Formats: sequence, structure tokens, C-alpha cells
Amino acid sequence: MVAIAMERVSVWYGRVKALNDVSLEVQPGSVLALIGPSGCGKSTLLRVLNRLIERTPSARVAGRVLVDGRDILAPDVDLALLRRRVGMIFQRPVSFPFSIFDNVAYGPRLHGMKNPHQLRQVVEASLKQAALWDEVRGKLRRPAHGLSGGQQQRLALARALAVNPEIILMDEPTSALDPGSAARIEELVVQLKGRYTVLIVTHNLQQAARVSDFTGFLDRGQLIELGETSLIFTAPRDRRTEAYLTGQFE
Amino acid sequence: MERHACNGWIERWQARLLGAATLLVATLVLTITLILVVGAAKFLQSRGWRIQVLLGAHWNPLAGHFEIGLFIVDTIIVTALAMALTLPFGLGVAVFGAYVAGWRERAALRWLLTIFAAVPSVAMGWWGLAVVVPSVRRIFGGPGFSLLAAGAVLAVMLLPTFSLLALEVLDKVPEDWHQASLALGASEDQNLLQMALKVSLPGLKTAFLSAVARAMGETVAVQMVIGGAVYGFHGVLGPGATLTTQILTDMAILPLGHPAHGVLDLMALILLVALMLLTTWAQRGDDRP
Repeated sequence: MVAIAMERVSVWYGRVKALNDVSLEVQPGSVLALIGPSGCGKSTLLRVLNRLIERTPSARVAGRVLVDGRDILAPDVDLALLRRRVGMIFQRPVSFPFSIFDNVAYGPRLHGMKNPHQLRQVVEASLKQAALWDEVRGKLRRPAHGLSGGQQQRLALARALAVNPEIILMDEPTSALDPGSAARIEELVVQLKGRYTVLIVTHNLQQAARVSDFTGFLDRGQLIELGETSLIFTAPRDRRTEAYLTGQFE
Repeated sequence: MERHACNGWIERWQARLLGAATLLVATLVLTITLILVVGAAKFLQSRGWRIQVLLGAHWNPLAGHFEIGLFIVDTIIVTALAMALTLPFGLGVAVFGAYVAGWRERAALRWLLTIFAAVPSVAMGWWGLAVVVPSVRRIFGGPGFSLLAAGAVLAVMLLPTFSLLALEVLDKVPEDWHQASLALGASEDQNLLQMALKVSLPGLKTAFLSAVARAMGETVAVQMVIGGAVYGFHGVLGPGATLTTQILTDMAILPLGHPAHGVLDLMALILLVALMLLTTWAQRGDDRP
């Protein structure tokens, strides 16, 4: 079964159409990179998948979005459950002004985990998975805001992993980071592959080429083409994709 | 060159004038405090530095009894009542304004609260006299003029300022944090209780302490509804007098030059020190990470 299926999804912000009839499928355990010029609807697409788009009062969504075969746009969907299964990392690293431990434990606590021993285990496992454990072990009670930008982004990843999602959405996760920190996040994406389905929005074409199995190119709200990353980058079928990849765009 | 020289001259004088203004303010604060300290010290000395002055409740200036314990207790009770009433309503209004209301409602709410905050205290006292005192009398019996009436009037006075401050604090929680919290599956309630209010605590503490300071310092509106009873404690539903209202009441019979005028200095000094401590504490809470 596919992990995500979008069927003719359109999104409007007021009267402006931000996504136009997008249909796509994502295989479980694969990494899909979404590329395209600014304002092409990449972030909007991600925000449909965890329904964070509803925070924008003017937004309206049409179409069907299936996650594990269930329509997540249905009115009776349990948002808390959906968002547990679909985690998200943002462009700017977000740390709550709590301790490192409390940041990672935030999600599990929301979902009712109280046992301190269990929480410790989840926090440790998540930090290890996000390759942050070695840098913060023994300092878990320190404020998260003392960490560097790259560390905070990995902390955000650990926090997302702590609720045990199946899908992880990444909205330009490295564009606010220095090259070294960006490389570490990329490594992590590659490591997450297989266990998680990852959708990553990026402006960095090399990054898309390095980390993804599939790449989708969006332009003005339309999904122009989606295919295996190696094919998209070497032999795009659409003229517009080629123009974008060769820098004749924007 | 000439312009530079000219600017230098002007800037030197600007700096001197600004420095002088600052010095003036500092001198004023120090002088006021000093006058109160000297007055209070003289008075306490004339009473042999007996702690009874602060703890006792026997107040009869014409007969020479000056014990201000009752006023201190009443001040604390009235302030506590006011805060207990203001806190839940004010927080509710702030949460509504920051997270529930649309932008139109929010603008209207802000406008309303700002207007409300500007109502002069004598008008609030007058309203208290017309509405609160009779209501207390009808609901609880007794004279109506009471610590409860004073607390209620104060609560209404504090509500707009406290709500506005709290609303600003809640508004400052970055949208990023809300999204990150919701993206982890937080319900709106969880987002509010476990994230937004939690990260706003330092700011809310400042708003709260500012309100406490205002409640302790308010005079006229309280004086109009508290009943001014100075003989013994009559409970929350009975009349009383606070430090501020009693200064107002007795400044006519203890004028400057009166041997016991210093007791008023002492009362003012207690208020001043309490408010200074509160304000300092409030500002310390505002250093957000």
C-alpha cells in the first residue's frame, strides 16, 4: 500500500489558488523531495498532509488525501492522531523555552506518557536517532535555547521522532543552517529512509539529488512532474523541469 | 569644521540637560523617601520603637492611640480579594483576545479595554457606591460597605489593565511555537495549557504583580465603598480601612506639624516600600529567555 496518496488536491488562500489539482503517491519508507521556485506551493502541500494548513483562516482545501488508505480531510479525523503519525520539521529550528529533556518529552507527554522511566527511555532513544545524544547527554536539564541552530534542528527532529511517527514532513530543514549542520541533517534524512516516509521541501537541488528517492517539481501550484530522482535530474520529461534544473528559471 | 564644532557644543549641552533631568528625578525619589523615613522614624521613636504600633489594632488618633496593624491586614485582604477576582476573568479575556477572537473582535476588545482602563477611579468608586455596595448588602447582608465591596470595585478597575498586559504577553508567543506544538498532535487546549501559558508565565507574573501594585496603591475608589471602620476587624463582609484610605481619612486631623503626623509618614513608607519591592520583583520576571 502507498503511504500517501493525494488525489486532485487543490488549495486556495482566499481567491488565490496555491495548489492546482495535484495528484501524487508516495511509497512507504521512501524519501520524496519537492523542488520548485518560491511560492510554487511546496510548503502548502506539506501543510495539507498534517492539516496544519487550517491555521491559516483563509485556506480552503479540495480533493482527497489518503494516509495509509484513510482520507485525512474527512471531518471526523482525529487530528491529534493524524499529527502523531505525520511529524513535521520547520525551516527555522523551533525549540520551546524548556529544557532539552522537556522539549523531546513534550509530544509523548501530550499523548499521555507520564512514567518518568519510560519518558527517559523515549527521550534518549529519540536523541540518539537524531544524532544529538552524544552532544547533550548529561545536559538534558539545560535550556534548549543554549544549543546551536544545527543542534536545535536535530532537537526538533528528536522531538518529532519521540511520538513515533510514520511520516516526517521537512519544510526546508537546512536553509537556516550553516553548511556543516546542513550536512548532518542530510545524513540523518538518509538514515531515516526505510523506517520513515519522508517528504522534504528544499531549494537546494544538490540536496534533493543526494537524499531523495523520488523528486517532484512544482511550479505555480501544479505538480509538473514526479519521478525517480535519478531520472528527474538526468532526463526530465518536461521542458519546465529542465529549465528549472539548469537555472533558466526564477 | 564649523558645523562639527557647533554640533559638539549642542550635544554637550544636550547631554548635560538630560543628565540634569535624570538627576532631578533621582533626587525627587530620594527626597520623598527620606522625608517619609525621617517622619516615620521620629514617630516610632516617640512610641519607644514598640512593635505594637505595627501589629496592634487600636486606632484612635484623638485619644493618642496609633496602631496600624488593622490597616495592613485590610490592605492585604482587599488586594487579595481583588486579585482573586481579576485573575480568572482577566486571563479568560486575554486568552479569548489572543487565541479565540478573530482580528475584528480582537481590535474591538483592545479598544474597549483601553477605554475601560482610562475610567477615573472616582467614577469607579461612584459606580461601586451605586451598584456594588447595595449588591453586597442584598446578597450577603450587613452594611454593604465592606472589604468585599472594595475588592470587587478594585477587581473591575484592574481587569482592563491586567487583561491588556496578559493579552500582549500571550500574543508574543511566536507562531512557530504554536505550529510546532500543534504539529506534534497537541489539541488547542493542550497547546494553551502546556505550551502557551507555560512559556508566558514570566510575562504573566509581571502583569499580575503590576496589578497587585496598583490594587495596593488605589485610594479613592476603595475609600468610597470600604466603610472606613477603624475599630476592630469585621470580616470580609464588614467595613474596614486600608493604609491608603486611612491616610486620606486622617490627613485632616493629623496635619503637618502635629506630633503624630509621623504615623501617616510611616503608613506611606510601608506602602512605598511594598510597591518598590513588588515593582522590582515584577521587572525581574520580565527577562524572557
